[in-house]
Amino acid sequence: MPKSRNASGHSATLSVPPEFGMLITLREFVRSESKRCGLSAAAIDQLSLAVDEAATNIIEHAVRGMPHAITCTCVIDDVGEALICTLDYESPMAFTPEATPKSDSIRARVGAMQRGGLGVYLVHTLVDSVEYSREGRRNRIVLTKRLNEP
Amino acid sequence: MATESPARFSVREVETGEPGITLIELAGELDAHTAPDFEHFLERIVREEKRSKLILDFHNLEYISSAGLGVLMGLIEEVRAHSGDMKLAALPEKIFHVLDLLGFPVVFQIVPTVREAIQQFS
Repeated sequence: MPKSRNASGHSATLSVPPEFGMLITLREFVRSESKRCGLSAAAIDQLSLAVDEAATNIIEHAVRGMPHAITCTCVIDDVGEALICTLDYESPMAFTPEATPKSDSIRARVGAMQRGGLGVYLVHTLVDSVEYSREGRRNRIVLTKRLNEP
Repeated sequence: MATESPARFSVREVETGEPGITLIELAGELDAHTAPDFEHFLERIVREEKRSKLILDFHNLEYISSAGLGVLMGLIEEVRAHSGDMKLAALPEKIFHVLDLLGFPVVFQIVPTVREAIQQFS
């Protein structure tokens, strides 16, 4: 699990094998970086859950059983207002994000005991923005959480 | 009966002294890695032992993701079909927040303490 940090102390990276057993390591990394960057306790919980849900989705649908690591990088944005956590992984397939369920829709699903879509909803609800991109053979999911809640 | 995974999650049954009521204590972090252990534990109680008055004590649960919540959703209807229920008790605030975001309080009985959950069943 390579882990690195640049000299300025504003960026840190962790690479983990694509296994559910590594989720706890990923969460601890995000919690540690969020705390170091000054997020509130509630925001730390929210960001670590969002990263967990996004990584779970990646492992379940894109890379389980493959040798490629998932890399998580946490960095403060240029203006010092947000923590950006990027999940980056190699995959032959472009990531196709599911449509984000609306609040009413997710409550209806829960009422009908349908499990699908809860994780995606949490990812989009718990952070301030979610962006998806692909570069070469790598997919990226970028989660941004403001340091100070409005 | 207890299940403990190296990923800091455990689930065990705790004696209540109340006949017919099953108290299950969760501790640690419930995620996609540990949810299968939890699911097997609950399935045994619900499907093999046919117990249907369940209280889940969340007091020592530090973390839950949608994978753990999915386990509850997968078994609640079965429990209710046997005239029982699954009450969620003593939720830490951060755990309640996650359930609340997803609308769980409308579907599940969420009770402040284990004692109150037992009283409701009794």
